[in-house]
Amino acid sequence: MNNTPDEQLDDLLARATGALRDGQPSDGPPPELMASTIERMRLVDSQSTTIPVGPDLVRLAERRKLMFRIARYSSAIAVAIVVAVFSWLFFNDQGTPAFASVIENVKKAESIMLTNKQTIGIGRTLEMKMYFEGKKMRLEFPGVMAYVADFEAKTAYELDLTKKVARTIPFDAAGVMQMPNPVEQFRKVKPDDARLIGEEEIDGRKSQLFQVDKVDFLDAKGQGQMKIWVDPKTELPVKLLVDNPNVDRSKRTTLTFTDIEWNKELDDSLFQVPADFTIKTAQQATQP
Amino acid sequence: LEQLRVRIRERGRQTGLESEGPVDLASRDPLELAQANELAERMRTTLSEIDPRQSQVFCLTQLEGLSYDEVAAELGLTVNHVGVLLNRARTTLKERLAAFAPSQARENKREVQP
Repeated sequence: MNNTPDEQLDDLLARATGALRDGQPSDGPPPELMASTIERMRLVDSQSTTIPVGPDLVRLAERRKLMFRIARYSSAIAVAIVVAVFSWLFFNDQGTPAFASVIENVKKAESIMLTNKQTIGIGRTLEMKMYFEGKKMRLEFPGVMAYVADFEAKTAYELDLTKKVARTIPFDAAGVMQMPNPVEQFRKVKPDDARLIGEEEIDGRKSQLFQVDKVDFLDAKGQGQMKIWVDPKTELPVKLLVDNPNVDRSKRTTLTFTDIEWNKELDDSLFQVPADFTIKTAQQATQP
Repeated sequence: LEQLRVRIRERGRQTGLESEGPVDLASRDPLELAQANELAERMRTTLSEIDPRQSQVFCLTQLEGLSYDEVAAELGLTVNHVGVLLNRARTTLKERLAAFAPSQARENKREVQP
């Protein structure tokens, strides 16, 4: 391994020459995608720590680190929102008569599978799949990375799906995944305004639309708004939207939960580290 | 660069694909492949931006494997001039590729620049 800066640059030039000689030309991602990715990183980083953004972003190692940071941040948001949404469904006793049976059905639910889309500003969307069964959870950015957690066993892993590496996450570590105890979270949320505001079609099926105001999520500080679409036949939510209408649309974070499937039998492997993955501790994973 | 493409095509006809051996892309790390593609793309762009003579000399010697004598004959230069152009090309390319280098080398480059 080369040590001096000059040797490192010589090595880099040799690798670049070899890559050009042996590789196939690549058009790379579309410029629009690159621009939106960088913008997304800027937004996320402005809310966490200050990371230099500029030409160095082309360096893949740093880009990968940022991507993982986005994923952690996103999963924390998603978990918090899901907990808030379902806590309201579980514990709100002030719902309309029609909503009472929805609450009962949600309480009885054994598993939930859904798609979460987070829109940051205008047109920038991050999508992940979410699975909950009993006290187990999986969040997945399809084909890239996933988190699996078992609240009962108090274990959590970050899965790099491309490198087939599982990194252990200290279950109580603050700021890593911030997986809350759902029951405790449920008890904290007290929305005080829910009403039926109409009917809409979701995937060609008629649904009842409920709205909850003054939702307290993340930085919304009681200014958030939640919309819940309910299938009148199954009496279960088919779509959820969490938004903050008081924030300018260009800066607003909107969370949409769709493709919701209730009580579907989920494969145990979804919540486990695959057998062909290498398991590393958090310390090992940060080493080069 | 166009000369290089023509030469590579000709070399492919002469040697045949089987002599290169199979390239098992599936066995390579996706991140490594992505880095190699990005490096190659940056290299390709940089070669099109630097002095054309330097670019030609670099391509013929480093990618094509021609000797200084052969390049000198090809481009109508002296052998010494080929060496000078190649050295300049390497210096320029390293400067332009420095963003991909480990942080120590990058910092060093910043310090020496005015």
